[in-house]
Amino acid sequence: MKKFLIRLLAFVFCFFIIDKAFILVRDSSPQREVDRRLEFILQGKIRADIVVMGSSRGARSLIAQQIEDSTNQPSYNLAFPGSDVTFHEYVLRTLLETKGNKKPSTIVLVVDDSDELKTSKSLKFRFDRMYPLVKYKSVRDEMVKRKEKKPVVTELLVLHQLNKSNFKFTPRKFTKNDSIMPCGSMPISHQKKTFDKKYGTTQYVYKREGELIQKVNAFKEMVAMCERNDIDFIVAIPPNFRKVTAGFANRLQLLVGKSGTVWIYDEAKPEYSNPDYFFDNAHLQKTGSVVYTAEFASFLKNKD
Amino acid sequence: MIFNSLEYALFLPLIFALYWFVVNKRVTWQNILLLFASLFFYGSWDWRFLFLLSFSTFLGYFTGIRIEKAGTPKWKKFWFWLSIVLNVGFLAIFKYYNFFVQSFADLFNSMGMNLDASSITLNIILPVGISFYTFHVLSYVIDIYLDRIKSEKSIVDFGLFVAYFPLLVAGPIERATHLLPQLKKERSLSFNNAVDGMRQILWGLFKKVVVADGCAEYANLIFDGSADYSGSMLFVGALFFTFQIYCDFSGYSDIALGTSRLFGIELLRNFAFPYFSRDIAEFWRRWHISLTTWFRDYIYIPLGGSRGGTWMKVRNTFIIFLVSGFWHGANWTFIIWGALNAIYFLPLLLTNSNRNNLETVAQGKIFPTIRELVGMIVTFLMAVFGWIFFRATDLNHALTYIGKMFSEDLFKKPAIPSLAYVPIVFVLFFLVVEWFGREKKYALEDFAPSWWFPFRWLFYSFLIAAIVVLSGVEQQFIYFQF
Repeated sequence: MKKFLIRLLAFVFCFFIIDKAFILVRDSSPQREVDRRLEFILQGKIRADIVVMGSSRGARSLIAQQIEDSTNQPSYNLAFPGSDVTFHEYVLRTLLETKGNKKPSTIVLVVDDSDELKTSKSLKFRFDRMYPLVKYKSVRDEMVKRKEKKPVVTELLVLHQLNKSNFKFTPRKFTKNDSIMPCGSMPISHQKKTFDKKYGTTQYVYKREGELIQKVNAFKEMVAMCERNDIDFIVAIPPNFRKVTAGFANRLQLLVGKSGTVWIYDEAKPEYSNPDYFFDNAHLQKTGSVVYTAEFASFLKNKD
Repeated sequence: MIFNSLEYALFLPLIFALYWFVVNKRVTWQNILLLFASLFFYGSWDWRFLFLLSFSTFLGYFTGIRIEKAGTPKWKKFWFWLSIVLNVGFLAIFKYYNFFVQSFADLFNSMGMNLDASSITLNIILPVGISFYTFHVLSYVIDIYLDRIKSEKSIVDFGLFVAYFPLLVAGPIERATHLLPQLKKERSLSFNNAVDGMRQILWGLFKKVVVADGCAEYANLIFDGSADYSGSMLFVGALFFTFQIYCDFSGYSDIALGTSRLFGIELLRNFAFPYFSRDIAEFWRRWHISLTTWFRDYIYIPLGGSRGGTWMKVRNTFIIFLVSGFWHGANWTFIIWGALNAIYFLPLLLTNSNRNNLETVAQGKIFPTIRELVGMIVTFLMAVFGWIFFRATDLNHALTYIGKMFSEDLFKKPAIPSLAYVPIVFVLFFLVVEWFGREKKYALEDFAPSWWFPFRWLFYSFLIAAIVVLSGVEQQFIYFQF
């Protein structure tokens, strides 16, 4: 028994030493990323007055540079494709809590009509965007808080902070859907092959059944954060290649209350029913993004 | 508390230390400690489950003694059937009641009646491991009834036999004849046994956390969104599930056996490298052995086994495969899976070739013969096909999945996501280790122990590193639901 316990302790000690060598893997991970926006937030490098947030609809529909040119206010896009509102809440919280970032005057949350608060296969909390940044303690803390990682083990073992993506040693490459502008926006300049180009004329009505309490709470928390920090909170509904869901804006306005504004694009504009302006049924392509951004910037200028 | 949780990583060393350093003077104290540890382990899921476990234990204990002491065959039979009916009754209520109600309602509705099953279905949780510990008790009671064993007089030892935590929630399904005598003996822990136990736990964790959970991510993605994938990707999805189910369950069994070895108690072997089987009969001798032998001893043989004519053999084979399928869950998919395996088995049975491959494949050699290789591939593909029914949410899902899989794009290059190659690489690594360890009790038993210790420790460190990196949110073991 004594021999067994001594050997076991010796092995544990050796493994502990080996584990520490993986600090090199952990700390070199951010350098292989091409989208550095999340790291800029963690490093306190965001200096924008107008910040766009959301999922792929936010990333592709609003071109921050165009907003900046139109409003003369520094703008930046922090929308991450595939992310849900719980991730947006994390991004906003980190943006406001990290020293060095300039407190924005306006947050624009581009929402998904009508999955924003509901279960969605395509939208999630993007842990995969956080793994390359696990060298930052706040990222590790968030993972533990969200039960992605175990608390004590994360502190003890570097290996537990990593996942398989940290071992992909070749630099990430952008696909043609992911090219990113210096302002953080990610417009697309082509159409999806499977886009059927049929405008959806069915008038859907928003139902609150299926809303996730975590998502509703995250949305409310974003509203509250903006209110606490005296930030103008704008919820923007971007075009789908179909009619806007009836009642969706009202539901969001109910959650926002007097602490923000819910803005819907002008559905009557012919571009929004023209397939040439769309990437697929749910996303604009760059020509459409330019039209939509211009309309949004005009709203923003006239707002005050 | 599950084996791949932080809680278990603290629980096991604590119980180990108390077992060998505090209560090591007497077997009874050790058994009491293990019994309380087992109840704590089980109660950590839901303390209410303890009532059913305790009832089942007391029922088995009491009726076991009554059967043995019954003055007349009539009373003996009475106590025996009381135990069987109550045990099976509880299993039926918790596991199968809603299924039967819903199935009857569907049947009547298809005949034009309008029955709403929801008003009479029960809103109850299936207690974890109920199928496993019920089978423990059943085998004990049947063995006493058939005068194979004497009843157990110590409630502690019997309670431990039913509730022993390494095997409580997912087996192996132990026999009183094997486990109870061990609980009476003094135990010791040799260096080799302790290391062997740790090694088996390590290999089990690797199989579960690295291979099974890695494959599960993509198997779930493909099965849940099967309408969006090509035939070739659906085949890849079925392959992922094939490795997931094996590594999940055999990983659990390895951890259970390794844990138990640390307490000086040997459990029954549950898997013997089934994916290296040359025919389906061999597969079933190597897959979930403790359940297969249970059905053989308590259903197949009492029904007449293979002693009767061809019709009896076929009937009995179908019965045990259907029961085996049904044991897994109250869903038609499991029953079809059982029936499919019976159909696979039938040609071997009818040609008397079901006991052709009793030895390990390519014994003493590195490579199999072409014939053996072909046999293994065909058997493996038959298993893959069967697992589609096992994994599908319902029969319609299974049939749609199969229909789409066997479309013309089955032979197109599958669009496998780049990160999915990580579990694929680990599956290949796992297959190599299993192949070289296939003549042992478990793959790692003799794979690294003879190496020079720095290499050996590096190899173990690699396995642990993979486990630590890939262990995120704890994933339940598939067989807990059964």
